[in-house]
Amino acid sequence: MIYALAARLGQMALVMFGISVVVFLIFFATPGSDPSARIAGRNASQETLQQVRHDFGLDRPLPVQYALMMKKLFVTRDLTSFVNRGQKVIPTVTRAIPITLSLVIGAALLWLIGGLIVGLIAGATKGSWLDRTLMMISLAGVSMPVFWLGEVANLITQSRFHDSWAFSWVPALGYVPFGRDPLGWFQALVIPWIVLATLYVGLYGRVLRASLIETMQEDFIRMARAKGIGERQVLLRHGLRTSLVAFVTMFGLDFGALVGGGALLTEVVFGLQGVGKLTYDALQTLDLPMIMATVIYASFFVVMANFVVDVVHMFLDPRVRDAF
Amino acid sequence: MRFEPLLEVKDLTVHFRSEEGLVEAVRGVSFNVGRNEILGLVGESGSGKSQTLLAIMGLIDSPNAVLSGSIRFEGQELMGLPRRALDRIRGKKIGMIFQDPMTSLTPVHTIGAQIVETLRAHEQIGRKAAKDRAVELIDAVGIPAPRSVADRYPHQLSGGMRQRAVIAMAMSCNPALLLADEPTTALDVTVQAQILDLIGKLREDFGSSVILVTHDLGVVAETADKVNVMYAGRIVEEGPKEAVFLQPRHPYSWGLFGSIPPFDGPRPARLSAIPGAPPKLSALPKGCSFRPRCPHAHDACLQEPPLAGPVGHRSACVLPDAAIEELAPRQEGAA
Repeated sequence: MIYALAARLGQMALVMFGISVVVFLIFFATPGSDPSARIAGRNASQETLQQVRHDFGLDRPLPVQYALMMKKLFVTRDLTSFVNRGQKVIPTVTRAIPITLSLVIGAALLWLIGGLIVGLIAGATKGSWLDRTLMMISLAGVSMPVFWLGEVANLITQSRFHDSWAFSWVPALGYVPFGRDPLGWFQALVIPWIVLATLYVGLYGRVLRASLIETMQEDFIRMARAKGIGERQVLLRHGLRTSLVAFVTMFGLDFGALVGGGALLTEVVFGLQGVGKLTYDALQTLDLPMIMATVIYASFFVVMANFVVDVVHMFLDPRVRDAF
Repeated sequence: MRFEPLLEVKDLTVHFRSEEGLVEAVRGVSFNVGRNEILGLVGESGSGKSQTLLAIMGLIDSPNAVLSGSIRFEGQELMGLPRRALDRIRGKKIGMIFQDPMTSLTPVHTIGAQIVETLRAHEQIGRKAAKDRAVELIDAVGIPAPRSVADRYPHQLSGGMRQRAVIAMAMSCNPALLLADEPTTALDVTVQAQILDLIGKLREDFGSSVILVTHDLGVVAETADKVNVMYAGRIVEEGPKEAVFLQPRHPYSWGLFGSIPPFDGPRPARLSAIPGAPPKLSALPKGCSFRPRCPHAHDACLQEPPLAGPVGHRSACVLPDAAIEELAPRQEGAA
């Protein structure tokens, strides 16, 4: 158990190292991406370019550059942006993290509960009009692009019906820190939550339904029924409990990816300065230090989420527990 | 009070609607099971024996299934009983053992928890007391170290152990009737014998009746009191075990018993087999469904023959008694 944990941590460090190297190399190997040209600005003279190169250490060998960047990122923590001179990268990312976490955790709660309810009801009433209706709605939810849905939500709550009783409470776009105003935090995020969760409720509902229907064909379900326990208990204790594995796997991966910056579109539409938005802006300007920081942060969350998924698996499935 | 058998199945019919037409899985099956009696239900795959058990248990839940007939248990009609009332009987008064112990236990709960679940569904019993009772049951079916096995998961036990655990589960509320659907088919031969001994012992200890479904005639020979031979959804022969084994009356039974190698004496060069294959249940032949494979078929077989014959030992064949006497192969030492 402890060995497995240690192996996991080592694996995590290895993955993050690999990702940082790949990102670093891609950045330098991409044609026309010479960072000094970008830093120096348009039509800079050869001399200025040389000067910039030297100032930023871009004329040193690649491994040295990589080592320097990692040192500034992890040891001295004073890595500065190539684009906005003097902007410290780490505090910028740290400021963006709570915003992304607030958005993703809230949405995750919604879609977990929503997906569970939809999947359970649809799976239990397979083939009924209720099942068909739920599946149709989920399909619609999955098909709607999140940026479009977000814009529509904004149109309704910020503009067209903002003055009506229903949406007058909706604050202007942007983030309100939880510490300053919990209610404001909730009000600012509740619509982004719903928008982001819509896609996943549909997806998770459908996956759980399929997995539940498959499980309910198993011999042990017939056995459970033969024991004379009520159908609700058969469904929840035997059916759902066994079907949760696929659900949890998906959740871990999606959650990690979203926290790592995958919620970009939602962040942009709702004016939330989260990690996704930060990464997006850094990519636009090829701001290597910023990209490096956000990518390493993202890889940390993805690997972390995988780890948590494995731990939850161990609780859900005794067969996995024994394999450790 | 009128004498009443424990279980009385009358004209049980199970049909499934399918793309190929109506699949007639069980066609008008009637039989009784008395108290403390073991009934063997034999036949090849697709003869309707498992569907008969599932129908008794109310476990046929396909929306395309059409059931009719009557199943009376302790005088109560089970057919069409609502789920709530059915759940007060199954697990409590009727226990069931399934064919494959590898798949019939929920993988994510411990053996103990799965037994406790049954106990607590039917009896007013605390968690702790139920757990103790579960350990006793696990012990009673001959599993060593019952207390630690109660905390194990199904995948940590061997097939034989799992089947014992399933039996412990089925017996947990002292059911009056135990339905065993090929309980030994998925097990090793040595384990098979142990499980059969166990079922026999349970009858003595708990006083339960048993319906034993199997395609293994050896299993029936060892355990059953009465035998029903099924073919294509019907009972073609029924009677006490000794009578059916020593003087089978139906040509299908002749074929069935003829396909077992003799216990002693010279070995035949080839085991005899019944020619042909069982009919498709969606396209049964007219009249006797064994007719296309029967060496003694004639015009009279175009009518569906009723179960007839001496009291207690009847068969669904039109051959006159004298002809049966003459044609039947003699079995020695089979029972």
